[in-house]
Amino acid sequence: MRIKRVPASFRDPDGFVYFKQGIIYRKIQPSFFTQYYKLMQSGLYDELIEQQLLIPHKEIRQTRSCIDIRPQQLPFITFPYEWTFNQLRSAALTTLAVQKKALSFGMSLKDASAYNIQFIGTEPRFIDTLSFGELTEHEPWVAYRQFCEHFLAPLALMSRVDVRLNRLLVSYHEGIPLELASRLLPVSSYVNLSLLTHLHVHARFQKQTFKRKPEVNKHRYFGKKALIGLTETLEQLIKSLKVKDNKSHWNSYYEDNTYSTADQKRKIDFITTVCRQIKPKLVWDLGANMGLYSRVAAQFADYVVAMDSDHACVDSLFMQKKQTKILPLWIDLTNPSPALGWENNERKSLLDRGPADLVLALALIHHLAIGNNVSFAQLAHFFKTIARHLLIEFIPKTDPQVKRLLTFRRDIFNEYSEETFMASFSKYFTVTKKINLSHHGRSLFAMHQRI
Amino acid sequence: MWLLIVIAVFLFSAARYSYAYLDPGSGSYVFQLLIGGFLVASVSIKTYWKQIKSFIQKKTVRKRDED
Repeated sequence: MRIKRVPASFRDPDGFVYFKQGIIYRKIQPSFFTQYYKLMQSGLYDELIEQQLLIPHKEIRQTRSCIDIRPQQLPFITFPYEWTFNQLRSAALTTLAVQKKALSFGMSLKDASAYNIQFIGTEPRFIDTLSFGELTEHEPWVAYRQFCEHFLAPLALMSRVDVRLNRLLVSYHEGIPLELASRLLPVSSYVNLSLLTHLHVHARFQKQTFKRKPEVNKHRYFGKKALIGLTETLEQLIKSLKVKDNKSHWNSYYEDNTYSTADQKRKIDFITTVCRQIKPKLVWDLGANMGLYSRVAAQFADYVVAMDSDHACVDSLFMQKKQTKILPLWIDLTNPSPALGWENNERKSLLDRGPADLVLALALIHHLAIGNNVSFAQLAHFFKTIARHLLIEFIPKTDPQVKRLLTFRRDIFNEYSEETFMASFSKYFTVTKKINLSHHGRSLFAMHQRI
Repeated sequence: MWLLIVIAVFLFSAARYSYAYLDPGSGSYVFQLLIGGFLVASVSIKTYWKQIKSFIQKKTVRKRDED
């Protein structure tokens, strides 16, 4: 049986990740055997699993030339530029918690990449079993710069400047350069001693070129205590970072909108019926807002990815309650995450991570059609790419929400009607169920893709 | 003899780097060495502070029990 190496797994010579029959495995090379045995036999692995910091794995093969492990399979892979402030913050704190635990067992993380964290619902987990190296006394933390570029710089920018600066991670997918972060941060950030040290002064040192490795001697001793101090000061700094305002028009949408309770109930009943029939493994709830319908779908689906372009909504959903079935994700559908990295092959685009068994597009398409001038033909093509089954709401021009979108602009949307909507979607989908909501002529459609 | 020492030092330092596939960055490396003393001090202060706190707490509890 042929194995397919995961394109992102090429940096670490100690092993790589591969696919076999749709299952993810990790191959460990002999160069990592000693570290791997220490991880497994020292008690560190058990401790990390017990504290739910690391994903568990099973050894499936052990030979002299390699060890193959099968890690817990993750329902959906996400990337740091799709996370909200608190998601990235919890990922940073998980990395530091893993490092602290590793230090107590005489090991240390040899990298601190944000891509080593994945979320299962709202629960962050460290996924790279090969990141653990034996602790070498007298040596600074090899992953310190990476941690600062992957976590500290974006978090400081999101906290002190604007949450949208997280999108810099798309351009700098291997971490925001510290000198850039330092230049973008306000002068007030210099007053914070930890930010001054780990970001501003640290950034100045990036510009220096040191031709020779400094001698490690008793005057420049960097022992375990210093590593613990480094981890703890970083932890305190990350914990001190907060987002200023987490309120928006959209996170009070369910309270402020003009829906009647009866309409909302009909909508929930419709989703329940469809989900019960399909029993989807993976649901994408697009424009999920505060996740009301994601929660309905999650009762019948294995996993729901709740996407919204509003940071406050997604962040609130993430902070609501610890759970492992709904993954909040900060996505702008008009510009979804592109493929990134070496040969555009390291990080998959959002669309490449589909299709979902069921896509919910409730009170969404009028924003894309009128707010972003996307035609129904384009929308139908988009949904064909991402959805096997589709649950979609059509909102006519007579609806106050659509009228509001057209208040200050010329109505160039002559083709915006239920007939054109149906004509465009019928090209790729078959309607299986339709209900009319009493609310301003809105309709709900359940569709499945034509084979 | 000197040659042996040089080789031993070389091997020792090479072995210490065997697991580091990531470039730590020369600036970050030197910077950590410079702040190492402060980091150790922060851990020590925290440890002493914890000890002082628990000492005071124990004394307060004992005094309360005696009362």
